[in-house]
Amino acid sequence: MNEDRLTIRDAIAIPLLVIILILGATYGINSMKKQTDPWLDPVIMKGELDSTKWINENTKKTDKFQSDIFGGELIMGMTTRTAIVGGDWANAPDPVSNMKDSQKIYMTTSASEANALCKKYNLTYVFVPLNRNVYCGFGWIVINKNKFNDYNYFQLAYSNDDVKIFKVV
Amino acid sequence: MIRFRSFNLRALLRYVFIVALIIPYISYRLEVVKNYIIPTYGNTMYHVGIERLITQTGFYPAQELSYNGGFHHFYVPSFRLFVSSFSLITATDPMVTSGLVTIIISLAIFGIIYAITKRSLNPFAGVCALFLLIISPEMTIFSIRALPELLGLFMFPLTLYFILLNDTGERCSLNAYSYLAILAASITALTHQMTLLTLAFVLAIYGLTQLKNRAELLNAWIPLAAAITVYGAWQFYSLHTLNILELAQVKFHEGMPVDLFASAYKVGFIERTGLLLIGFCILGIVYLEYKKTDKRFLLYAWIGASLILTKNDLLGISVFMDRFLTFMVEGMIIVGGIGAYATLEFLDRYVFDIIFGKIQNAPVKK
Repeated sequence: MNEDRLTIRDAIAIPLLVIILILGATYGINSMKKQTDPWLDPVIMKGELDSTKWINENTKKTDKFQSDIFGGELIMGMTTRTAIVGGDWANAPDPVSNMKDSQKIYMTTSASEANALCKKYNLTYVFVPLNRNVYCGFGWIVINKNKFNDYNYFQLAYSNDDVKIFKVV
Repeated sequence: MIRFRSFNLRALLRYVFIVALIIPYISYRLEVVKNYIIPTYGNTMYHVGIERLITQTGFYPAQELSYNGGFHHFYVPSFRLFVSSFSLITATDPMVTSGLVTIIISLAIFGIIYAITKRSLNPFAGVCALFLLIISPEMTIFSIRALPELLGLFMFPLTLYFILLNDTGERCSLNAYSYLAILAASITALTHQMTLLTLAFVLAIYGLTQLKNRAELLNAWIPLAAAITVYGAWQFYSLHTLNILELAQVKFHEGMPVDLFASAYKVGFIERTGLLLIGFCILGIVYLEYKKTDKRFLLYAWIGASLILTKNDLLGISVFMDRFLTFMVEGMIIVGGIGAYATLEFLDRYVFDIIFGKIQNAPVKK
């Protein structure tokens, strides 16, 4: 038998191997995607990303934001401003208190309480996503947005369809 | 593997299979840059913030942006410096660069998985390992996001690859591979703390299996010593202490335990690994033992050490169990590739030969 020539055995075995590969890969990739697709979720809405342009152009580098973890990391990533939560908590002085207070600012019905908590952390702006729930470290929660309309404590500084940014009075 | 008669045909087929596997692998990872923002799970945008600061100032920031800022950072710098450099060179926004770097590093992982499996057995086993890689949920979850762990999933096996390549024999002297292993271990130490811990455990355990072979022992433990020294120096510089017990991750036991099946507060080993990979991995270990291949104990140490780290909750530590699982799965993919090759070889030798032998020997009607 000539070693350099394709045999009948090869002519059957190679397509068989290709069919097994295609079927296996198709099934394997589809079943993998069921687990991996959620990890591609951006969470952040398009309008939230757009708002970072306004933050860069209209706030100081030293301004600090009330936000949830995803919003805070968006602000850090696109503007290098700091936020009450988000990022690496390894060496943070008291990260759990930050999480609790951030969640309280979003959930409380009292504008004065939210304002006092913002001042405790020297927060100058509040980032309020309009079309998603927020995550401050203890599960996804719904924001109580009405209190931010109390102009004695908060003033609307920027808004689009996905987010409002209030200045802390 | 199928014993194709022509060498060129075998090589050609191997490359065709590699290309066929790389297409779905890349096309899925292109999703990372298709959206208006990169995937944000896992603090990816926080890293972008540090990378942006580096590109704006030219310095690695001494203070954190996280949790209201104003304190010393804990993170090691390799991944961020890599992204920032890439961003500066290409004049691309650090957020977009992070997405592009994710694709590039995941391609490098594809390459190193093939290279290690090829070195451990042969190139056909390498192709089998690549097949298992592209369908692995665990490896995909950690190679579609711009995280330091992503670079760790390349640097850690790269260090082991240099150790595999170093044919020490009886000589106890340093050579080019030793220096490359030391360099790779040092970069790994500055890439991701959990990757470093996995590397340290793997090299320590592998060294223990080589106590009678002083040259191989040093081949494993010199990079280990280098990695620990480099990391210790970095942590002392950044945090001014070598103590890690006060870190939030350790104090608050960050991470989810890994059990056989997933539940609300547990990651499922079976779901994340896949029964196919588990089965092939067992076959791979049996085959490696049957063949008594060179340096197989490095692969055993890889899986064994990362298994111990994955189940660190049983030792009362309970920190990042699910994150160590990724390194275990990475090792299992290599051994699983060897198991898949062994299965094909068995089919070829004992099934195809019998079938085709009967066809060829069948009496011809006149």
